[in-house]
Amino acid sequence: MEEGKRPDSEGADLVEVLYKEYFPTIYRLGFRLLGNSEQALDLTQEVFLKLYRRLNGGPPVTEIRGWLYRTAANLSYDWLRRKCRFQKISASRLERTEKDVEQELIDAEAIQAVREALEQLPPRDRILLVLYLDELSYDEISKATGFRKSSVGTFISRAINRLAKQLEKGEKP
Amino acid sequence: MKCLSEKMLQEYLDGEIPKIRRNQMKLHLTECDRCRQRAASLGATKDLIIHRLKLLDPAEMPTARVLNLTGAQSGQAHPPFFRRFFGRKVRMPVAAAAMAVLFIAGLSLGWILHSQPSALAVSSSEEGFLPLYIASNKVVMALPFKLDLTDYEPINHPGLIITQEESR
Repeated sequence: MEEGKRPDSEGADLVEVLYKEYFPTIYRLGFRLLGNSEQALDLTQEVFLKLYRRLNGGPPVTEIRGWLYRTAANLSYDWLRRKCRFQKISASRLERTEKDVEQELIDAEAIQAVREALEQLPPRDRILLVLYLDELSYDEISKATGFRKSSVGTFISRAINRLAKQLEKGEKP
Repeated sequence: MKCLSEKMLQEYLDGEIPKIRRNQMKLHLTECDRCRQRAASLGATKDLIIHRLKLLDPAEMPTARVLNLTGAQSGQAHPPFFRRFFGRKVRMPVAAAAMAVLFIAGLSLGWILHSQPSALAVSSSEEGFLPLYIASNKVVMALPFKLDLTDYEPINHPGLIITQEESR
């Protein structure tokens, strides 16, 4: 499954299988970064379209998971650079009538605070943190982002500190 | 062992340090209060950030859309310029020939413009936009674009004659 795939007519079937397997991973990454279900779904679709094209004419993909992360990271980076801002939590979500409305509002505020803090970071830091959150190794992060493996630790440490400072700022009255 | 840098502490916390080096660092951390405190602080920040970032996870996983590959069946939706222009693949000899033609055309144009032109004839068609012909003593050339002459003064250059075939 992981070694040099180059399908032709059966390409679509293979991509369907991979789509089912990796949809949650890529969707979650998109959702964390873009903060919006529609955009996360669009991102996921785009990633798998690229995979299909790659498998039908491009160089072989030697490591599917890494390739998907790399493509999703690159696409997200472009989207974020095009000022693809997080959208406010939709009213429908806030209006949802659950048993514990108060708790939900507290959660929504906390989510909003994290999103706003994350939005203040450069796209590179956002992508690094989201990949880090997925417990990718430095080697995998390096392959997904193109950073040198030896620099990943430094970049992550800086990104964590920046986000911590932003969260701290947001918490100050 | 020297005190640990922030990068080393981060790598240590993330389990990215090889075993032998890791044991050396562990030993240092038992001996150095300052590094131990920094490691604890860094670890706490890391845990806090991970906890906060996990709040961003989707509350529920949507049903995956049906993967629409129809746009991709016939190739790329946004193929590179040359593929869009010339077809599926541009082979190197074709690209090289195209570049050579452009180069020769550029040289010819330069030669014409630098030789003493006997006339620059302009014929009218639409108002304001006129096809431009350049004629030297050797070559007559029609340029594949129209020149907007509305706001331009006539050019005074020895040996250059501008004629407007039909004046309005």
